[in-house]
Amino acid sequence: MIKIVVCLKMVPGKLIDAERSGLIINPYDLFVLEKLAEFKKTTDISVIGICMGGESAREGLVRSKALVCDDIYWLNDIKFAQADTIATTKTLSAAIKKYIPDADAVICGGHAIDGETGQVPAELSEKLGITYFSSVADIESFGHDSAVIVKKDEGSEMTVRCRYPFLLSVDSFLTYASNLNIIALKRAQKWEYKIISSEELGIAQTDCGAAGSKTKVINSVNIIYKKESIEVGGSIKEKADHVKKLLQQ
Amino acid sequence: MDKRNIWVVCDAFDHVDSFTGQLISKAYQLSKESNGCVQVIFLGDTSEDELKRCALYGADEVVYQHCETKDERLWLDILSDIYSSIGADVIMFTNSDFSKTLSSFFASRFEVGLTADCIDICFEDENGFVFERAAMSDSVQARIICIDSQCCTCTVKKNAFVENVINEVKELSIRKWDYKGSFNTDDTYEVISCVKREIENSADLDNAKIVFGVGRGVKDKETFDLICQAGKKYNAVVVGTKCVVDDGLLPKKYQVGQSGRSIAPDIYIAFGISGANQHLVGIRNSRQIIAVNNNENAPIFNIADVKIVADVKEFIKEFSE
Ligand SMILES: Cc1cc2nc3c(=O)[nH]c(=O)nc-3n(C[C@H](O)[C@H](O)[C@H](O)COP(=O)(O)OP(=O)(O)OC[C@H]3O[C@@H](n4cnc5c(N)ncnc54)[C@H](O)[C@@H]3O)c2cc1C
Repeated sequence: MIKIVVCLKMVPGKLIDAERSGLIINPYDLFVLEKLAEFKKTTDISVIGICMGGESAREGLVRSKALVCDDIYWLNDIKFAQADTIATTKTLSAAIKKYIPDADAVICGGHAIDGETGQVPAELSEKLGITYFSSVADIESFGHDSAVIVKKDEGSEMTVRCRYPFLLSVDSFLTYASNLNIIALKRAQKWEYKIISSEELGIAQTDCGAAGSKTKVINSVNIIYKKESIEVGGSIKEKADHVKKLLQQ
Repeated sequence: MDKRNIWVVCDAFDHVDSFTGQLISKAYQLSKESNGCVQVIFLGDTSEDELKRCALYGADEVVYQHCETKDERLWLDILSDIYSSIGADVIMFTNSDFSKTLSSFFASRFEVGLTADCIDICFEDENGFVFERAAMSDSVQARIICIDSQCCTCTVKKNAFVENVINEVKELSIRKWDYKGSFNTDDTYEVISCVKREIENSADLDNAKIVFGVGRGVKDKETFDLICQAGKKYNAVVVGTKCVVDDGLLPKKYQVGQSGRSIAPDIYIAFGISGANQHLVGIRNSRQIIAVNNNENAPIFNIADVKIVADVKEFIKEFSE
């Protein structure tokens, strides 16, 4: 059986759809979950989700469980809050080393749509000391000792066979889950989610959350300077003609 | 007091490219503000004459390690070796895929602060080096510092800084590094097939005088097609907000903003774009901004030169007449 760890982040739903409230599964992570759900029908894989997040992550975890996860580790502790990528990486790597040290593959979405730094996957592979593949567009197969992936770089598209263990950063995304089954969802709602605190994980307070972070936002500034604009009034035709004239100058 | 070491890591392998030039120019400016020394770290295979070009932008020193392959893990080991020996206060990387990985590896190995996709860096007496990037909230830019960190690292957005040839003659020292570790690269994978892809040609966008921007206010294909047709007529390139690109209406290379590209046309017309800060950072250098939006309070109007309150569909129909 191939053991696969998926790192899951929950992000504000309104980033995708102004009407959506609460948190949703990061679209890049959702792509990975759906892909693995497809594989699960034909390949002997076990999928373990790992998520750092507070209570508001629950709904996304239920969906992840219903979609494909056999097990989920929920790193839920106020001490984990406000972590930058370094503190996040330390926390996730501590959990993987402790609970799933024999993982064959660790898979991360390439970006979280709320942060967009895309740094965590590479940082995590360095901490875990396993091979890293970025810009992964697709996964073709999971074999006995290696997997075949498709990598799309700035200048090439490559099909690569990689030996376990490795970490993938996947650059494809989905905004809605298509494979969600109602019965599975009901079952997932009743499932007991393991909540792991910093103490249980055995990570020092100075290594996680705000205290373990190496960067800090000191303030925010508006760098976009307001301009005095000229409003064009009149009929729609007058407005369109005005712009046409500006373009012809 | 010792000078601060400001590093620029060149990832172009065989030459000093213009992106690196932009970084060196910024480093030079920072060195003036912070009493620093600009050091370009060059890994790869190039000539001494090429390395000397770093002085044009204000470099004080080049550290050159000859190597034959461009591999993130190998470069990390070499960089770590140089860093452990001479140290750095700030390290600037480009934001190419390669350097993003390299900088993340580095930050993780040394547990130092890393800010992604900076659009500005400054030095302040009370805060030290401050890095600016788009914040999660829509209308502001976050100012970020490193805390409890041996050095500060960052990746920089392309075209955020201007490549600038200095008008002083600088004495450049070239230090040839002699890396003693192994040059072997990872052998845990095997490339089964590889197709070269056309490197996305961005000349059209970089040189465009007129650009049309499409936002979520463009609700149907008909309106979108009309905008594209008008674009052809006026020789304008059509770009979009992240939402539009995520919806698949335009390819990623045409996304403008924080996680896309920056443009600086003579005229930018925003069709149905709300004006989130992450989009505005990409268009703020446009000479003239015209905005069409049906909400008279849309934030885009704050930075527009010409404000047109109208329904996009009605407007474009009339405009295409
Ligand atoms: C980390 C991060 C990075 C990001 N990077 C980018 C980036 O690189 N580029 C980018 O663009 N965004 C980026 N975003 C997203 C950004 O925050 C906004 O969500 C996005 O720019 C909004 O796109 P929009 O203006 O098309 O859509 P909306 O915000 O939905 O705005 C639509 C606008 O259309 C108007 N409208 C609606 N109907 C009509 C009509 N019939 N006629 C006229 N007007 C109409 C509305 O009044 C509204 O102002 C990023 C976000 C995050 C969190």
